[in-house]
Amino acid sequence: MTAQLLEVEGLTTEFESSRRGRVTSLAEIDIALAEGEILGVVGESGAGKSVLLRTILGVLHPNERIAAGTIRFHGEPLPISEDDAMQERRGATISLIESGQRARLDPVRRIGDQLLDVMNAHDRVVRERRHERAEELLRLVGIPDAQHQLRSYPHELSGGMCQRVVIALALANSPELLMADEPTAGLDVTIQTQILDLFRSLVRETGAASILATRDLAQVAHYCDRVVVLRAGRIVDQAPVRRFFARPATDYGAFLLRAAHAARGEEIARAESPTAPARRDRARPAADAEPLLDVRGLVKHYRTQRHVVHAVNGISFSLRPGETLALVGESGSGKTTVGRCIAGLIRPTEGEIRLLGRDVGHVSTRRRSQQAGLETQVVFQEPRESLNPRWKLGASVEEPLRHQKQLDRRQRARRVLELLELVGLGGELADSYPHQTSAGVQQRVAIARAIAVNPKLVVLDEPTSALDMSVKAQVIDLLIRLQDRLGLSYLFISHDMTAVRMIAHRIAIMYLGRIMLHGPADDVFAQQTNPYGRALLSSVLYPDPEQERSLFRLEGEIPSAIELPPGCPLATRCPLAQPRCNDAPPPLEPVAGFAQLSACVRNSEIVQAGGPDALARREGRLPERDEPVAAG
Amino acid sequence: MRVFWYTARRLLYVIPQVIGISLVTFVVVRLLPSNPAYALAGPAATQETIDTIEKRLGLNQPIWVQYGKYVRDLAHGDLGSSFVSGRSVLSDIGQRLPATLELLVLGLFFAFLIGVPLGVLSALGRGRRIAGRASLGYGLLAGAIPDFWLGLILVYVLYTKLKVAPAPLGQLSPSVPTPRHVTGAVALDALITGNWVAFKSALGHLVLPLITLVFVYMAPIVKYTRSSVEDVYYGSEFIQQYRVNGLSHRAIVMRALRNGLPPVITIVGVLFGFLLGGLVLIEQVFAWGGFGQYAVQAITNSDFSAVEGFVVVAAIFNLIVYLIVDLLYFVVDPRLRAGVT
Amino acid sequence: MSTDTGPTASGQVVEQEVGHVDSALGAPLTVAVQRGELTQFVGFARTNRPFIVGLVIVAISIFLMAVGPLIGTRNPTTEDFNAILSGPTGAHWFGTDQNGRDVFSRVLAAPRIDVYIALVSTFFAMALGIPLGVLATGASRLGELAGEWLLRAMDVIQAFPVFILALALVAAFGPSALNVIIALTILQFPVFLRLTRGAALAARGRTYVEAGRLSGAGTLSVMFRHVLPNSIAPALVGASVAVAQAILITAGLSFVGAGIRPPTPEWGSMISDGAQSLITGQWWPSVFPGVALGVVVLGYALVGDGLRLYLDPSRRR
Repeated sequence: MTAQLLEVEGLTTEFESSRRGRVTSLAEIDIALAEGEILGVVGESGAGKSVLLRTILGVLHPNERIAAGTIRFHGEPLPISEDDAMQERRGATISLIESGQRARLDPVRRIGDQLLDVMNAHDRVVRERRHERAEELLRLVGIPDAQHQLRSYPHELSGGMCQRVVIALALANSPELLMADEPTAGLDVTIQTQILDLFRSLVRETGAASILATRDLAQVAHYCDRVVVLRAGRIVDQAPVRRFFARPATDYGAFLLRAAHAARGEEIARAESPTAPARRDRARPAADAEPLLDVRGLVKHYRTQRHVVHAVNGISFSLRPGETLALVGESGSGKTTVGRCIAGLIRPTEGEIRLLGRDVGHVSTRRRSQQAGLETQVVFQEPRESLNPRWKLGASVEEPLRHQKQLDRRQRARRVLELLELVGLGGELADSYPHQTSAGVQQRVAIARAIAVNPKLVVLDEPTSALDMSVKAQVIDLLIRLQDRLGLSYLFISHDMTAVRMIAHRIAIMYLGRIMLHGPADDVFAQQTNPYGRALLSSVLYPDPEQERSLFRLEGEIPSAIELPPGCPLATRCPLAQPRCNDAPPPLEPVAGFAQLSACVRNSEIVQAGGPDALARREGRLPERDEPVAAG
Repeated sequence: MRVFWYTARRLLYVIPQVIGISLVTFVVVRLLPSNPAYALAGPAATQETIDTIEKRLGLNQPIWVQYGKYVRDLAHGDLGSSFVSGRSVLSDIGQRLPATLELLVLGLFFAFLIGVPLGVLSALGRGRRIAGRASLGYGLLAGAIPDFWLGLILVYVLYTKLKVAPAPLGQLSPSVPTPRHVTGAVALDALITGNWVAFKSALGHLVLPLITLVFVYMAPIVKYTRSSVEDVYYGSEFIQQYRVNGLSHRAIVMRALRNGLPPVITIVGVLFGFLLGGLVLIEQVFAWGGFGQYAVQAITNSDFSAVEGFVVVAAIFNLIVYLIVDLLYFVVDPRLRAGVT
Repeated sequence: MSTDTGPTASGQVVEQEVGHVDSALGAPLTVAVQRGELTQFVGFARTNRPFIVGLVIVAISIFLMAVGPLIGTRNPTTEDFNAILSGPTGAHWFGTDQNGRDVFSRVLAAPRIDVYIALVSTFFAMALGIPLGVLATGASRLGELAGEWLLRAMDVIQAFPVFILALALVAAFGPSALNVIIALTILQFPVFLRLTRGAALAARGRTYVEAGRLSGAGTLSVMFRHVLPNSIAPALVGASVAVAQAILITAGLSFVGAGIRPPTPEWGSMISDGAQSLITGQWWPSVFPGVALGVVVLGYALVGDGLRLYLDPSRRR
């Protein structure tokens, strides 16, 4: 048996709640961790992942108490209930990376000073070496121009960069145990991949042992050696990664894995759940149908006091009745702005938005609601935010009916119940207030309000981003049913490729206010002819350690929409970039042999080479093989 | 350099405010019920004399001409002259202001010096449950007690009964000659000129008004420090990060205070502005002879120019204080320096 | 177990399973049920003793405002030259002042002036400040400009030190209760305007307002059905602080002789009248009105603190 770095035995913690009395937050946890090993801890929110990690670190919530158990580190028991004694170890031999990016950093202290703080708090780095070490750390976590950045304040760095600094803080004193709790929450997918790759290579390089806590089984599949499944504070499954993903030994493990697959819209879900519709089996709207929505040359620039933000820079697309078009992109891609223009919440700077043949781009929301009979409705990202907190849920659903003035009070009440039933809610919910219900219920109510007046088009602005994995799948299923039943057209705006895969007929991938890749969903998911599309989709992890991962990655950060690159917006990050890419933004053109449209000057070369990966490899811009995935 | 441009922009913003202030002051003062010409001419004056005086004062001209003249004078620093003393209002105010400022600056200095640590202690100290309750109780008490009443009670207990404090009759004992005029603030002047007898007497007279001032107006400083530091400490992820990094409690508290300071700076600025006028009451109790008492006299006598001058000076002073507060913010918060809001 | 249970963090929400609602998807949903607003308020008040104390003091102050001058042991303005500055006795519970008036009766009669002025001026300040605050968020392009000017005007009013402006205004209008009310209203309405505007700006940017617009709600409907109800809480909390402040300012004005003049019973002028005797050793003419003043101000402050806690959005999420 190899030397165990960390041994947790019978750890039980209790939480003193004012409402529910004493609650067991962790129950008899046994974990052993060898040096150089990466352990994945998975579970749904509230399963006790964070409590476990923080207990190992000795940072307990004021109402949290250790009831039983020991934690041994190098064979020595850790004084986890003594704050002072643990303080010497925190950030020194044991460290923790949590999510939060910029919020994790003191806004009024320079990055370099914050790194020095950690080193000064412990005496593990020789005093004279500390400044040098700080610079070295920034370089280690991939922050360019490290020397200069030491003097930066957190607000001068992007969220992704701040998260790198958080990692640097954890590494400062060369810990022997490096823990991470959802380290990529809230980051864009292409950045997430960068951070996780960095995390894994650092653990491998330094030889530290590591724990990665996450809700996302896909991350465990790709970045861990072993997995522990937590449920309500108990370990319910424990296995090497390969074995777990091949065949979970427990029901709950199997359930989680199924949910993870389902959330990615994969076949398994359909096979096992008869209620889940198979999107691709459904009849697609006729290709020659008159478009419901036609957008031509849409531009939206925001003028702030000092700058012009180029949110949307000339995009065109159309949407047929009964069809779902997904607008996909990372933060700053302009997808939400497009949705808001189409809903009439803001007016475009240039371009045409034709709904049923009428130009509605420059008509106010109010006029539109009178003229067009509320043909466009929106479901927003944050369900709680989108319902008036002082109104009962029924009143929110009723609001559009009331303004339309076609039904009397009793008819409206009946219609509200009908609508609630349609979205799978009981009528008694009409008398509840938003804060009394969960996010999933709130989002259903928001959907009911959106369909109350029989709109033709519903703009779905990240409707599932605020929801838990299993609720997400339910809401998407609901949306698909409603579409089938009511013949709605959806403009589905999302950064979540897995949600898109479940619902979209067609996909338009946006980057910095332009469409980079546009085509039928099957086609686009099967093969991406565009470098950005390729990078974005290859960043999506599947809960399968055997998934072959492309190494086609983007470098660096997303440029600001204030100073756009002069040519192709991707030129600063693209492995296939050439000098001519900086000349002018490439037009969106059909790709020979594919049903896709792609904006890239090297379209024909990419097709000839057999895809972006092949072209990059031929040009020596891509390593031959991926780093070997998890051992065991 | 950024600070310079920021100051310049901020000053530009002050101009319309000063115009607004002058307008409001002018209008309000013209509403004063009694005609100063009558007051000036005395009860036995003929209509002719009154007309002459009105003419001399420009009171017979249209109101907007009067306002124009007023603004012109104001721009030249001319606040007119008092009908009562016949002296220039500016010099009158210049003579009275130092006494008020001495009390005010010392009072807020001590209030800040004691209040901030108390606030931090009651938020994050070891015995914070008890300290927190105590500071809450103190805050309520100090907020409810009228400062002038507290001053009177102190006088009653410490002067009338215990006879340890000097009589509440100004800044010096009547027997001690006033030190040579340097700044106008008596204690400071005594210190500068090395007049120890006067200095001792001046300090003695400062004690009671200072206690009154500090007791009542330290409360908001304690309260704001406490809630701001508490918000930062319990509501910020970077504090969690510091804990995770293994920094000591003391170091973390210092960093929380650094982040929680802006609201405290604001409240000190607000208090400064408020007290410039609010000190009137305490001055009245201790016969301090400062800026505030001057205002009360001017109003009692319907002394046009004096009231005008007093209100304008106070408002402009207030603007300067707010300007300084903004600049301090600018220095304290790097996000502002970068133009991030 | 459903993962779709309500994140009902608020202590006031009673979470209970009302049976499983079978949704179209077969997913069971847990529903939380809440007690009514009034019950909730009573429940809150019961556990918050300082709040109750505050409410009682406020109730007494309003009662005295109504009948105070009638229930004293003597006529509050009658002078008795045989009992000048007599100490607290069975005949004069709080003693008499330098004109031989009964201090006890005067202390009880004073709320007729002090509390009345404070309540009425705060009411006017709110009636003016709250709607203007909502309008100052600028519903249209024109409204935006008007809102901007309104704010600049508030800046000017608030640039004056509070007490100095009060003094100047009362001097200008003349010392009477009505004029003190006018002065206090002018002084305080910018506070309500700002409080409401801040909250209204936040509320206006919320998604439910956009959803309302998409539902066909017009500008006024959005303003008064969505924005106003969600931006009134800070003004309500501010109201009781404003009353406390108004009482203190009224007393202060009268103390320097600019507000209410004797013989009208008023705490500030009573303290002022008694100041001279205090130095010579007769404490009662000043001490009793000061205590009464302090207690009433404290009561309103306690109610304000309680309301702040009750309306705190983080408490009722």
